[in-house]
Amino acid sequence: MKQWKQLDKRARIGLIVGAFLGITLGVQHFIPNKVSEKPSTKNELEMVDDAAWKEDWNKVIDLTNNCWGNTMKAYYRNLAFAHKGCLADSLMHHYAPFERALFYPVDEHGNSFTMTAASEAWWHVGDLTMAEHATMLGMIFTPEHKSTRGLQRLYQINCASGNQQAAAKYKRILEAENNEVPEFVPEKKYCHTADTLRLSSQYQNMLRSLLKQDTNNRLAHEYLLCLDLLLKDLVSFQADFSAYGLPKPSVLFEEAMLILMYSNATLREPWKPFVSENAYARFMHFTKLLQEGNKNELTKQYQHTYWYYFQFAQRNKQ
Amino acid sequence: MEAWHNLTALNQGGKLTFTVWAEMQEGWIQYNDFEIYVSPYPLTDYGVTYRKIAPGYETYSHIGNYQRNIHTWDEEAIIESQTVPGQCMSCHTANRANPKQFTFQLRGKHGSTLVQREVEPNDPACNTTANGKPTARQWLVSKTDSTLSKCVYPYWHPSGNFCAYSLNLIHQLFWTGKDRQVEVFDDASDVVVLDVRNLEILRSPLIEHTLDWYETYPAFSEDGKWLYFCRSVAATVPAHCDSCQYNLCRIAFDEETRQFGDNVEVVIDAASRGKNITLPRPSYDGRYIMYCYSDYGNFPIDHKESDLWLLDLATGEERPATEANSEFTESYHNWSSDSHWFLFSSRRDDGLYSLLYIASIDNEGRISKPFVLPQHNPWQFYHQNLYSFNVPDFTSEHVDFDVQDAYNEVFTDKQQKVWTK
Repeated sequence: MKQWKQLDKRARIGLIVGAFLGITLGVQHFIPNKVSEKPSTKNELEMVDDAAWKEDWNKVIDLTNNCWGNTMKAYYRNLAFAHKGCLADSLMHHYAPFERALFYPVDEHGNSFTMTAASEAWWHVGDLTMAEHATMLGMIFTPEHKSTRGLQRLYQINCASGNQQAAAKYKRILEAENNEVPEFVPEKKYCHTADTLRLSSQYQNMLRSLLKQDTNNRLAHEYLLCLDLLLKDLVSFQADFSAYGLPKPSVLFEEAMLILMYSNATLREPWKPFVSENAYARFMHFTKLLQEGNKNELTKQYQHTYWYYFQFAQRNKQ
Repeated sequence: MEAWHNLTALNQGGKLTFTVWAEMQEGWIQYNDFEIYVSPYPLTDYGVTYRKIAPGYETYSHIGNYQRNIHTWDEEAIIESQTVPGQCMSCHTANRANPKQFTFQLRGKHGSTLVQREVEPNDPACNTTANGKPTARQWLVSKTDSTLSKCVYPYWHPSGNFCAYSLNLIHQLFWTGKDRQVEVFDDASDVVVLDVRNLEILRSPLIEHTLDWYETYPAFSEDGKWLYFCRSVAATVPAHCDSCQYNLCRIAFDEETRQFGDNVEVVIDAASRGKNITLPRPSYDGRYIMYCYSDYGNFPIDHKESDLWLLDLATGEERPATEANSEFTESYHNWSSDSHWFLFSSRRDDGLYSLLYIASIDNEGRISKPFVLPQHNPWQFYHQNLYSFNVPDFTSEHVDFDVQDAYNEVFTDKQQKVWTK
């Protein structure tokens, strides 16, 4: 105890962080952290999807209040919060199924609904090619491949990308089926200017490509850093933060930075301005509880922190 | 329809002049006259075959192989995905437009390579009839322990006794930019020939298991003595997929001895020009080889710059089929039975969906202006269409394919294995 008191504040924190990281391996399975997927009714999801399509983000948030265990609801909830500028602040306060909290995969395992939903995140972050890819894939399961929703999105995508012939085609089809098609003027330039090959699952690279083109793409910025953290990819988080900074201050980013700062001494000074004293104190308390094995208090006080997620979140076996 | 046929028959080799009036608000107006030229070469084939598929990349829903009578508006399915649930189909290929021999690929849990061919009544392989003729229909497991993959891109030998196939390890990635969507490339590829009489895979070390080369898109010459194919230096893919530039090559083939020649000849060295050749299609009169000419890669439908070119086998001259090309991709072409017509896929309409275009070529090599596959109401049909037409070919007669029997055979896995020495 005397020796502990003789240590300065940084040394104490360093020891605690070291202990925290050392304990990590030993207590991975200490607290159950796998969540079984909870199904929603089709109607519930359709209502959420409809609200998102209409960009009624408050309604999306209302409808997804009980999203725990439901990937689709969590996906839309995060999209809504991102539009309101508070994705990072809210990410740990509801269900966070790794990358699926932000992106739905576009592959042969999906269905029409998930693929159509998948295009939404891409559209809003500004990746037109992925949005088109997902929309076309979702549309092929609809009768005669003519989903009104899909056609409307394809019309918008091709207006934004400048493919006037394709846009005119989709508009013609919509109008032929008595749909009113207002002229779509994209608010900002969406397309990737770099043309590189990628797998449809390389989310981080695609977001970086968007940010390289336009560093003011706030949604892509927030999505990228949050995705790094959901994937527990702190190395990428550090690199992406160095390249692009923070979209806005958030407790989530503070918590992630703390984990990095004290495993990497070179980060402590430059990152000090980004982390509050309160965050330091809470971090110390978290690790103390972890060391004590105080399961109840950990869950009660810290289940909505990134430290808790980083420590305990595990993927369900698919 | 009959009146139109009579009119064009009466004006074969000539032209029809059209005068159009329209009643507008201000009264009747007359447009400038325009002419339609009637080819001197009647298109006598029964129709065309194609696969219709909505762009899906990783998966599909409703796809099928279809035949269309080009003298009427009738389209019917040869086989559709609903009749073989869970299976994908592709590459329906007849022997010189003659459906007495055709092959296609079925992919999925019950996937196999179909080979259907007319045979003698006493042929042991005879197990069905088509167009009233004794026919062998075989579902083949075309992958062996020593070959690279299942059989992929086919081309029949004129005798009908052999079918060349490529073997490909195929991957696809996606471009981030807006002008290109998909890049399909091979990790490795080879060419083999299947003797359909005994299901033996014939191989040559010059065109198979060559570590330094990718070989693909085989096509027999009109007399069957040469096997043309495309060959590229092997590259690190996908990082250097733009280094895959295929040349047009050929190797001799003796149908009697079933042996290949001793060397590979480079017929067109496109790579040395920084260009790329795929899909060689010899005309059935031995006059030309038509091919796709693009910047790189082995999937020209996704390359906007892909154009059709002709190699005149008599003179050695190469030229672009300028009359048929557009600023969008042209690819996947085939010849009519008399080699005076050809069809191809083009995305000239909107840059996204491949449609089927037809053009003729005269004895002097002049190509007519292509026209899209006629429909009863083309404006409505094509403006509402969200399918791509691919793998088009002519068919000299109606394709007779028993879907019910095929369903039973596919789902009871009545398959035969190819073999190789």
